[in-house]
Amino acid sequence: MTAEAHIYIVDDDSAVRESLRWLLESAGHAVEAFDSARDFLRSYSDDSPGCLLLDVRMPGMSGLELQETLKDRGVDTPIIIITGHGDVPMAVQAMKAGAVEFIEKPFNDQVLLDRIQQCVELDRRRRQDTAARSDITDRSARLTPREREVLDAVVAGKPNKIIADELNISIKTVEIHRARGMTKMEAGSLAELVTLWIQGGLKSGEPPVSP
Amino acid sequence: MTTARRWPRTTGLIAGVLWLLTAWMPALAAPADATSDRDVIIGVLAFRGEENALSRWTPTAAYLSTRIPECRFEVRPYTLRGLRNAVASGEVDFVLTNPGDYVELEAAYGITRLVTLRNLRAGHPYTVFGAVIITRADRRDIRTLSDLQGKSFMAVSRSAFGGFQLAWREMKEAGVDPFSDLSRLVFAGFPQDDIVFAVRDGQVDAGTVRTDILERLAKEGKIRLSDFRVLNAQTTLGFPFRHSTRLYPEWPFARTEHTPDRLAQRVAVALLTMPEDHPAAVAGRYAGWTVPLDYHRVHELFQELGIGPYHHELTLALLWSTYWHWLVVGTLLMLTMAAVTAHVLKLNRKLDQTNRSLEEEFRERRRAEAQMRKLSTALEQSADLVMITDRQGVIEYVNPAFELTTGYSRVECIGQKPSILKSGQLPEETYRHMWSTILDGGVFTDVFINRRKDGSLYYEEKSVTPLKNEQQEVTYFVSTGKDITDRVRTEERAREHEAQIAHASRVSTAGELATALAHELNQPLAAIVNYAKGGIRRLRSGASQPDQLQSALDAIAQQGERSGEIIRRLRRFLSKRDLKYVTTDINRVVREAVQLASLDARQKRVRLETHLAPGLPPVTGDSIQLEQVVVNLVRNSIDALTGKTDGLVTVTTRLSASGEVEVCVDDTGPGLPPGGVDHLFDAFFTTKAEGMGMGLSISRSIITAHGGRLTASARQNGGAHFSFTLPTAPGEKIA
Repeated sequence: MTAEAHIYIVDDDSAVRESLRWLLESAGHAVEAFDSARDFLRSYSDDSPGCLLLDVRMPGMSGLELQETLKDRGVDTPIIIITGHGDVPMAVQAMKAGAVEFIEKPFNDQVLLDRIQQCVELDRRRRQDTAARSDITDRSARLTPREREVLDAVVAGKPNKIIADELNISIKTVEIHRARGMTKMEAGSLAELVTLWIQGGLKSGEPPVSP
Repeated sequence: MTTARRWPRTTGLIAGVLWLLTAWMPALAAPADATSDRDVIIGVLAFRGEENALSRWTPTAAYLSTRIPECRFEVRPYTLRGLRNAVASGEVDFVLTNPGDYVELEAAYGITRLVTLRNLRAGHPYTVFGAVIITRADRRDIRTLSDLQGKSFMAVSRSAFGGFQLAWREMKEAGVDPFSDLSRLVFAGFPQDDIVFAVRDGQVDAGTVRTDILERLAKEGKIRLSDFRVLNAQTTLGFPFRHSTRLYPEWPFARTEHTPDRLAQRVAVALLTMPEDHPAAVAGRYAGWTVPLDYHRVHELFQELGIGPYHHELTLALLWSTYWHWLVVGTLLMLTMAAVTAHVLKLNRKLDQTNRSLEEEFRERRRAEAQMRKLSTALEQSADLVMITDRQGVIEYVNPAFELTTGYSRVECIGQKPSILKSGQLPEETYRHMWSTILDGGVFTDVFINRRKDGSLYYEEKSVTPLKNEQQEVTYFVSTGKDITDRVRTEERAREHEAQIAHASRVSTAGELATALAHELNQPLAAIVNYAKGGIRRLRSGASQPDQLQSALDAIAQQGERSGEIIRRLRRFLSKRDLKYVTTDINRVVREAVQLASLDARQKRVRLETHLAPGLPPVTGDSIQLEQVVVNLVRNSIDALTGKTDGLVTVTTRLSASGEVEVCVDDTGPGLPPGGVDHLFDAFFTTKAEGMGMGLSISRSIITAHGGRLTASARQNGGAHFSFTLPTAPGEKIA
């Protein structure tokens, strides 16, 4: 959660690669640089938040191809595509394929660093969301089927009396299930419960889905 | 003079002998005078049946009977064989037959043609005829005479002239022997009409008939001309009938050996004076008679076919019996001549001996004089510049061509030194080298740039040759030269022109590289900016360490140089300057070129490798043009690989087996365009959507101008192989 952000640079031109490293390190980033997509893939793990800087044109696997490969592997670390002069069509293609940003060489350092910051934030937020969702899912897994049914109805805004009628149980029983459920979900109020339901992507009547 | 007197005597003697012989000759002929008032038989070849012959020729016989009342002329029709027998037995006095038969009878029985028939064909008189070889028009397999091989064929008979032998001659020349190469040879005899019908009805594949028979049958409505194809069809001016063969003279009217001369004479006159439209001519379907034609062509035919009179085997006995009198005469003549010659020789021998030595001397002197005249005329008229100087270089002679080219007259030159022509355009070294060579007795040859009297320059391809006296001392120098100014100027213009084209092509290449070039310049620029901005950040944050900053500054400097290098390389490539053929390191040229072309390779994601052999001997050449060739070849290969993954272009330099420097560009592309190898180096030949197609053409002319060869071939495992060779520079190694 609090892991240090990593910026990955993949560029076959050593001058560009090393100067980027210098620049990003000057701004306090942890940088890892690779001269080919293949090398990058060999040592990359998405343990820590960060973003990728890819040169769109490289011999061997191109930036676009690397983007595809990562997508296939389910990696959604944000990608900034660096393009040279006249590569706009490629950049558009990259954006369509899900790249977060593209930036044309030579670039303004502040613009680049801002973009990197935004991407790192985005990645961090995504990772937090993912973590939160799996926490809620864990909690909801502890509910009995009856408790789940009752809470689904509560989240849907139904009064206890209606719930009792629908489930053909007494209002008292509904209240007991509701109280136990709220405790298991660690929700202090109805509003909190609804938030959890939305954050955790829980839908009424369905078993919990793991991310 | 003595020889002139000698010959009339000999000639006179020969003339005498010849006169004797000529006077003697008539005795060899056997004149036979015959009585008048008798039956005269005209033997006629009845080729369309007896009746036909009788009705055709009887009126002619009647005409002769009227013109020569003492005789009763009678026509007797015969077959070929019958006529021969009749002539042999002396049964007939005159013979009217076809030319072939005539020639045979002439050879065998001494008959002689008096007049030639003016045959009437389609209303017009003709004195020649031939044969036509026909097949059905729908026989697609028979179009030429040689197609007759293996086919069935119909003719009149082996001995029929128009009905076979004419066709035989043509077939034989076309390589078809009617007796061995046909599937079937049918002799159908007369009338020839049947042959035409047999061909039409498919009984035989082809056949031959005399000319005009086809046309006559068509006119009579018995056949359609369009049903037939004429093989080996000929056209002869003034002869309207379809024919496949050469044309031969018409039938002759001949006398036999025993026909009295007077009678023969009178018959000839009677026939020659017969009016064209005489009833006898009308009945005979002819238009009178004409002077006898030359039947030599018929002889030729028989000779070629080895038939008729030429069918005989030659034996000594036959030769003797035929030519004995000529042999006797020849021998006599030779003996006489030998005797005469011996006599004359003896008479002359003495005179000859006295004269000979005088004559020899005289001739020798004349020959020497002529030789001198020839030589001096040659010098005077030579288009080459000739100058003769003494050992000190003082001019003693110049020829008119020299005067014309230099503008100096002979008078102005003599006594001067050749340095009056010096232009100062040649290094002194050249003149020193010349003097040392020629004073040593050697011949010096070089191109001189000299100055005319009017100050203009001219190029002279000159040889200076020392002349030696009997003591082997150099006494004179002869300089001969050609004014090659025009050639040099033309070559210069052509070179300038080619250099312009090459430059234009480089500009175009640079244009095509513009995108890649911008990208390539962006790299160092981006790096520089990154280093600078990073440095500034560190300075601001106070996190900077001097050694870190220094390495960043070093990197900045390095990247600045890198951009400068890219621009320098491009400017060099684009420079427009005179060709400079200098000693050049081919590996350096290739490295520069590969750097330029690598822009393209990176852009198109093609791998570019170089294998440069170390220690190659230098070549003489213009480094920019050579670089242009390598760039063209590499880019050509890169283009061939565009869109292909893992494309590889390899540039190799090496020393070829023949000791030349070789540069190869190989790629893993689709190879050469099919059938394009021949045109690969043509201007404007291109298989690409873009580009002018000038690159390879210009490359080849550059390499050719460098004395090398540029070739292309397909690689065994696919891809193309381009290579060029360059002769190595003489002399020094590259530093």
